[in-house]
Amino acid sequence: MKNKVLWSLGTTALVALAGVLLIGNKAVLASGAQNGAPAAVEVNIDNFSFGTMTLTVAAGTTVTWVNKDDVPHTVVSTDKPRLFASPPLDTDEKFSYTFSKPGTYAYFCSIHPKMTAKVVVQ
Amino acid sequence: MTGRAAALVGQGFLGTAAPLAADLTLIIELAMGVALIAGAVLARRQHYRAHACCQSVVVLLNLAMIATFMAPAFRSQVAPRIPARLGRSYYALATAHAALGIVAELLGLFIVLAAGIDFTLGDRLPPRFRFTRYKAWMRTELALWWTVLVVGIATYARWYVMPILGH
Repeated sequence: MKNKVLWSLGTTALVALAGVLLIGNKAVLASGAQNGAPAAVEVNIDNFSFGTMTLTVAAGTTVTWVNKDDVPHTVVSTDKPRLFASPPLDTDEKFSYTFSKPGTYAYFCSIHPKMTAKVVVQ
Repeated sequence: MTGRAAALVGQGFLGTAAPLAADLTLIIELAMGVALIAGAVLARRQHYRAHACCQSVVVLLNLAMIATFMAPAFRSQVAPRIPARLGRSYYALATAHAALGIVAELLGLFIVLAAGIDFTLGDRLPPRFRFTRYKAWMRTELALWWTVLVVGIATYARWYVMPILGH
């Protein structure tokens, strides 16, 4: 009985640790297109950072960024030529882009270049 | 952001949230403000040719800075939001800086042209076209220029420093 409790506690601790590590890295695996319906993921821009530093999505997913800061931000792909580039987004404004091909897409805010993140498309 | 300014979207060097273009603009504008004061000192010491060169270079360099960095940033980030959002300091400061800056730059260009023509043609100009009251015009311009500079520093602080301090 005692061993069973210890095993349960250990398993719970491992799961919790894995969760903390995952959130700590801000890596999020978004659900891909299921049942044929196009997937959509929302990323909040807040506190001068992109809410999800590394967002993993399935090909065909539409990612929408929402600016929650009180200053404008942009969402601009690092690749040249630019794959996507939003206009300056004021508070609560949105920008969407559909990632159709697998790959890693880094992006940043051109007004505040310290703000960087990436989308991994599987 | 377009053109040359777009090539300078890398991180700035002042440790704020600003891009390289904004940090460069701030430093160059501060240097030009100091240069204008140095130019005024040259005039007081009666080094008029050096004074003319110094002030002319600053006014023309500022025109290039406006065209290359400030106007594109204003056009993309501020212009589409005014007048609707002038109640927010982010837009109000930038708009005040732009409005006063245009007046200061145009006045500077007028003084450079008028003084230059007057210096070149001198007595051949009809009296009513001659540039008089140098000191009043130039002192007004220097005061206006520094007012614009201070509002510009406030704009930089609101755009790139305050948000970081606030979070």
